[in-house]
Amino acid sequence: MQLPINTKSAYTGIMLSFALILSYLESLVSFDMLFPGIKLGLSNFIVLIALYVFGPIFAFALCISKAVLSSLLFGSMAAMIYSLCGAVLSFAIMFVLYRCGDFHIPVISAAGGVFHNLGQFIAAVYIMKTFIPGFWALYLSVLIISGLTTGLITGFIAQLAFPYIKKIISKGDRI
Amino acid sequence: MKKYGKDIILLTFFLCVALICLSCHFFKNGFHSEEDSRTANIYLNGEFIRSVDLNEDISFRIDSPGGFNVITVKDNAIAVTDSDCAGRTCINTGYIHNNTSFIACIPHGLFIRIDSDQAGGDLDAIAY
Ligand SMILES: [Zn+2]
Repeated sequence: MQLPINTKSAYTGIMLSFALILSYLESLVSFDMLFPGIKLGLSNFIVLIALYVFGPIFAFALCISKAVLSSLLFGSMAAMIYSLCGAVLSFAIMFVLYRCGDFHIPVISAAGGVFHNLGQFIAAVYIMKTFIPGFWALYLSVLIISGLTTGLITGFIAQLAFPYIKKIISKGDRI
Repeated sequence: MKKYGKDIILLTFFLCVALICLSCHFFKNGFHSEEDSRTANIYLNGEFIRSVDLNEDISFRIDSPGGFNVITVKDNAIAVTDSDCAGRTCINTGYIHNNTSFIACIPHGLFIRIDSDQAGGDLDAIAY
């Protein structure tokens, strides 16, 4: 969508606050039992909406600031490398699939979810260095399947919300 | 309207990778991989520091550059019961009693796992 840069920045800010609310909700749900420090990535679809509406630069800015701010607010400094790794990888795959043009929103979101978890897994392997539990293959498959499921669900939500968000933003532009 | 062909291929690909990981796991470990063991090994920043006999109830404190963790052994299970780390993930993990779970305190670089035997310092678990 062709929008002035001020409008884009303002709306990206609003979407960032939505993403942070979702990150807060995520921090309340304990997914830690599965693999310490790993988060579900509920707010991935906000980045996806930003990618469609505002373009890659704003979506990337949103995804990085979401990762940094959510770990400062609800996590720890050590958790930041997890979030950043997950956010960057998930953004990269969503951007590539979006540019391909052959994929539907829920599927792009699902791929983002899988890569979000993979990024965090890679960060965990890096942080723990020699210490990897013998069950890493099991963890990996659980992470892929959970990323796929959350990604698909949030992707469907994004697809449903998409026309309304477009309408609101094009109206707001006229005021 | 776009076709769903490529969508399905991509989703199937992810599911296949997950299945391959899953089968790798069962191929290596078998279906009876949960084994109760009586020894927990504690690592600090990747280095083995001590092992604990799970038959004896004990509580002790480990100080690291990042802070402290209090480790408690009770009823053949081990847990981190107190820590000054951010997030408290290690405490929330609770008690673990077999080799399917582990405790990690990422801010302090502390890891606890239960092994079938007493481990030395050279763990190359990727090759495991
Ligand atoms: Zn901790």
